Amino acid sequence: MRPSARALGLLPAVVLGDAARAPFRRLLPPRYGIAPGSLEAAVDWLCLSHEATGRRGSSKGFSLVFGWEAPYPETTGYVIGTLLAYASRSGAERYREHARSMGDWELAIQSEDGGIMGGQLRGAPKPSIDFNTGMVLHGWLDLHEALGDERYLDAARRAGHFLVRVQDRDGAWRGSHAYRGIPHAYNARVAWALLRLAERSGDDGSRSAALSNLDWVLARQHDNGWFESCEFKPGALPNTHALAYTLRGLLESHAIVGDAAMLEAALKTSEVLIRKLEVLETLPATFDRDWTPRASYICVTGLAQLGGVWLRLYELTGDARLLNAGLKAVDQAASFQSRRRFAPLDGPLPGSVPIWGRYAPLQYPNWATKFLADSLMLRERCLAAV
Amino acid sequence: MRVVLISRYPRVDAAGWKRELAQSLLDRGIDLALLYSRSSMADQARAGLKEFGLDAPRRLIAARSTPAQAGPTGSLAAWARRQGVPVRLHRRLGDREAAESMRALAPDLVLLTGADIVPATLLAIPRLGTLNPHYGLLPRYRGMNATEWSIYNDDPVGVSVHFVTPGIDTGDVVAEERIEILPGDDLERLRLRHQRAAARLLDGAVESIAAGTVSAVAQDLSKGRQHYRMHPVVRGRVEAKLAAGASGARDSSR
Repeated sequence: MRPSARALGLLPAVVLGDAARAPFRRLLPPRYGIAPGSLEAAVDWLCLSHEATGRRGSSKGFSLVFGWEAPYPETTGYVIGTLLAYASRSGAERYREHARSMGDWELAIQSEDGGIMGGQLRGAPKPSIDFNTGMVLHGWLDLHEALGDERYLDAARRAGHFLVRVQDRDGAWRGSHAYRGIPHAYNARVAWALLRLAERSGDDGSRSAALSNLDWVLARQHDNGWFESCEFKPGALPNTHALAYTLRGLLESHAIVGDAAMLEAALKTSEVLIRKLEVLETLPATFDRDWTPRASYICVTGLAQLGGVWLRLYELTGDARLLNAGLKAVDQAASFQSRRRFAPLDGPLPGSVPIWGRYAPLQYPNWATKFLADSLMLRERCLAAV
Repeated sequence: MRVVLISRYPRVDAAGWKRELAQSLLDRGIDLALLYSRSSMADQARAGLKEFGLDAPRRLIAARSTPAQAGPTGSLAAWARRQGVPVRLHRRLGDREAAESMRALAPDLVLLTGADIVPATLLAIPRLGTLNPHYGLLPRYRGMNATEWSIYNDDPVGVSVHFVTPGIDTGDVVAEERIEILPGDDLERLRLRHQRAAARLLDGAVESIAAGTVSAVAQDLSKGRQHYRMHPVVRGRVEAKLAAGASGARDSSR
């Protein structure tokens, strides 16, 4: 990729802004509340990320070095659900149209084996990856639910069959169809997609595969809430983004099948992370297995996701402490939203704070903004019901 | 009997209930001393900024000019010095000098009156232990904003006095008092009544410990949860409940 002069021109201002704000964050009280237009800006930016690729998939994100990135099949899959939810909320058809167009693009790039390729669509297609397939499965199920178009359910069935076919006997996915070849606890989010597919299509194989994976994930949890195998790369520590994937997969699977162990597991890890958020006033991107912070930057994606996880846990349990934690996490994540006059920087959430943190450095990934928008909509729903 | 009160921010520590407690202890012949953390101007300025942001200077002026808060004699530390009560100032309770001060004071009992988290090294010094007044009924409501959380959940509010252990509000309970929510109450009024109850309960606990008649009840921690500072939106729901006449009618599950 070639550097983008326009993006590079903005780099100093963004970096200096983050550097200048850091001491004030430590000295001043947390900012609560959501700035007006935050949700709308986030969703409009997701639409812009779609336009930026010529209405193929949603761009992987905006880089302060390279500008708009190539379309990213995996995250385009779950951006679909965000746009459909916002379309229902706002009544504006254009968001549904973006979602439909993204879903159709996913249909066009679905591999013959039923899976979805890993990475960005740039050059030749790559092998299908379990997690990426699961995330697009969510998008097709959302589209089928919203539009009733059977093409999406057919594609979802093929994706489900792929996932069942490549799953190991112990319920994990590993090998050539797993990211970096290793099994991941965050595939609980794939299991959630398979349970949704089973509900919609009556496919028992998908349900069995999901439950088998969830058993494997539950067995990875330590007594202190830590999850083994939650990291993206061998030897790395899991970040809050991966932890949030795992917790969301578990709690949503509980919501479908009613297994209390899944809910308890999500609550156990959440209790630890909520305490960290209170004591540290934010969530460092990574912790070690004793929950000692191991990063000096915030993975804002994970923060926005965890806010959503806690709001959903509040909906499921009625425990207002979870509402409290969810509001704090979402408010803090939203306070990092970029609002500049330059359209690619009006609405997105950075990967890290400060922007040079190790998670998606100098980038605004589309999934960070997707999770911010999801959590802002959840926030509205929760507060409307209090 | 020697009792040490631990508090913080000596220049602005002017809550009336603390002086009432200290006066009552002196009146009963208790050998009293004060140990403060966060004693420097910088500590207090930083804490004020962290709590109230750029509104901190205005709030400080308002607090010091309100008779109910400041009292005729100003801060507790200033009052204590005038009474001849030893006052020790430190930056942090975890500092070596703070532990040395505490050892030199050789307390039988320590009372926390709005203190930072006390490190285990300090907790080990007083012969009879350390007591903390917690504005919530234990074991159900541990942690921050326990009054607000109790009201949110339609539970009774009150004050518990407990021995301090390394956990948060997990030590044995020696006294508790429920506080009735009255028509027209808001959180500030309730807080003042909690403070007066805290002074009463601590005073009584010191007396019963000195007399050897204290009864401490271990908490069943499974019956409670840790609570944290309330988000303003949730707190707004509590204030609305109070305005609508919340009574804390539902009985505690203890």
